[in-house]
Amino acid sequence: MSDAYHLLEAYLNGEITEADFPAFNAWLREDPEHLRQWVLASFMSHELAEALAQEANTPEQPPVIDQAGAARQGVMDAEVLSLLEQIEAASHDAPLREIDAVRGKESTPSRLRSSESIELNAALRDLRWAAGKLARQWVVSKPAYLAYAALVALLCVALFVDWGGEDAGPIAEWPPPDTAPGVETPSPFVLPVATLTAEYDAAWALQPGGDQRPGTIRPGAPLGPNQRLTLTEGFAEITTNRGAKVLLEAPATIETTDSDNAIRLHRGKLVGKCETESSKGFTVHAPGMDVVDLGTEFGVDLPEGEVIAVVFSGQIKVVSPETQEKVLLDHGQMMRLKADQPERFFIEPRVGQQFNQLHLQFSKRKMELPGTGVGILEGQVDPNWQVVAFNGLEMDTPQSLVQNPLTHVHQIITDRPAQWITWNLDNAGDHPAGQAKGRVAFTFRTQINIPDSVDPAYARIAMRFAADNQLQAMYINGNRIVVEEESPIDLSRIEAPRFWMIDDHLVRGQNTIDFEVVNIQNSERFPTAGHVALFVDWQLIVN
Amino acid sequence: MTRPTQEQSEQLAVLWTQAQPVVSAYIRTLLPDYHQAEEVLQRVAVTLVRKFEAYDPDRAFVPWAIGFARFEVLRYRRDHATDRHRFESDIVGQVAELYQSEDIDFAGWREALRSCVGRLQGRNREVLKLRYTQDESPTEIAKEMNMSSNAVRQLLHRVRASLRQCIERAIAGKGADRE
Repeated sequence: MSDAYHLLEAYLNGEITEADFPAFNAWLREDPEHLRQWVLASFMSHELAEALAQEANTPEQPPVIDQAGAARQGVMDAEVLSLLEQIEAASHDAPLREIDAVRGKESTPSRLRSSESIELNAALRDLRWAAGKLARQWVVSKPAYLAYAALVALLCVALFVDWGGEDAGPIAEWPPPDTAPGVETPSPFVLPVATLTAEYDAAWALQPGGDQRPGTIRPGAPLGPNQRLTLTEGFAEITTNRGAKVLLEAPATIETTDSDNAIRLHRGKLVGKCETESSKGFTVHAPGMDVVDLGTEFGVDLPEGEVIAVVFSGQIKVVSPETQEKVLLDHGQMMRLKADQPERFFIEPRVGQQFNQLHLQFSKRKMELPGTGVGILEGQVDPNWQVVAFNGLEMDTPQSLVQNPLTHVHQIITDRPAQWITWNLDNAGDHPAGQAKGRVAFTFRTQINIPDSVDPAYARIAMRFAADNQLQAMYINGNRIVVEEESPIDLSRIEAPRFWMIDDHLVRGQNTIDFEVVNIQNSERFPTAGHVALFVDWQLIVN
Repeated sequence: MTRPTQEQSEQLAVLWTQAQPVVSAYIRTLLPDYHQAEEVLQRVAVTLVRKFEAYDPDRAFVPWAIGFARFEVLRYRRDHATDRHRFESDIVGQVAELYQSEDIDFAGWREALRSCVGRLQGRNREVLKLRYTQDESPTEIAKEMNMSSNAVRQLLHRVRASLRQCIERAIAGKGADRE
């Protein structure tokens, strides 16, 4: 548990101070699980407030349950009953650790005699369903007035909205691709060890014995231990409970294990990515070789009669399960196991090309990219962008972009990485607001990183861009783009941006991209100088 | 833009009735003040009415609505630039993505929580009521309940943890009951 976990408790208790929020924000960013905990805790708080308030306001109260009687009738889960009773009895200054230790020791409720527990478990199963059904009925009827109020409010809004003659246009590529939750879940008495988090054009095999069936494995589906999956087409991403990501390319067969930080590869190839602290030590069991991640990105491939392990970044440990011999591999190294004759090579990155398609498929979704406004507070300098020229003349010293409130309105609804960069003429130094007239052009510069595993010869950067309402022209790396002139600034128009592709002169690593945005300031139609703004969203495409 | 048809209005009303609790929860996570959250929620409702023509019924409605809520939260923060923004913009986005991923069954959590809360009694229930309906701090609760502040904090922690365990069991049990 992070040291900042107490901040979550303080937040929930209404005791967090303004000075605590930077640390709290940092804690939320530290691990996706922290964010999830906070969201769930906030959701619970919100719902608790509503539920308790409604109980106080509604004349019909839910039945008061006699806890002891309920245990004998099997209405309540006996273990939860026991826990609540212990909390009730121990609700004084006892340290938390003592209560937790008590909870850990109690695997069965101490109040029940052993002869009752078998009968109770059977009764619990039936009565839990009945209690749940009753609870659902209660829940559906109780907030009905809220639903009606929401409905009335919505219809009233519909009546009074100004429809005008404005054409909002469709929103391009929104909402994000459907990720319906998995319909198949492991037994509720077995904890899942991983989750299928994404798939792309995937198809799954029908396994003899029915471990999975076509169409039942969907993103969001939890995976229990010792569950075998065969991917026959496409790509898939599985994330363990500890945060290790496994990218699969068909055809591939993997199997989860009892551990929430290990999987078994029976056939095909995968890339393992361990980006969280808790996922270090993630292990891939392959025939004759265990690959242990030490905080890296690596690949394991099982071509005919061989086992190959490649390190893309960081380090892995390769262990022989028979002899326990260990070999440490660094970035760029490969271990090939062939008929009990292990070899070790120092390789060029190109040799790991068999993993390129896997990388590329996932790079399309998650491209390393600078992000204006992301994590940058108002008044702070954005290190990802610079202003390098004014009216075509290169500045002696590139100017930094400073995040200002105007950028908040430009958080575009898009599922791609995107930025909206504004250069307020008030920040223009020698060109203060009100004095810039006529043609005003600023050149924004950023850099795009092409991952080492991607061959730039096969890569293209596809982008959509738009600029604000006084746009006259755009140049991308010196190439002029035809744009709509003087399009009104309105988020509903941003879905009709221009498309452009950069497919030449790309290199591995940093690629510089310049956007020259030409505006007409202080024109007859737009008499006031304002800001020069650019919106860009990006996608990496590979042939 | 044309006015929604009767059928579209009815469809939107049904979808919004189902989505509103989740969208409201998202907004409240980032804007704990009730009145601010209500104002943003109303703006989201207005936007959804305006944009409903563009909605693809083959796609989930809640993620679509959360996208607009995300924008409205950010716009609210811009319009109230003098207010201290406690959560940074990227956190706003990440929370939206979590709600949009539908990774958490919020409707299931809501239902299970209300069932679990109904089972609470005595001091557990009392401390929750004081915290969540009266918005009292642990120090204020301690005075009312004749306990130490630290004891109240520990009790709140334990009851929340117990509720969460109850909810997770209820959801897991619901999954088993469907088989």
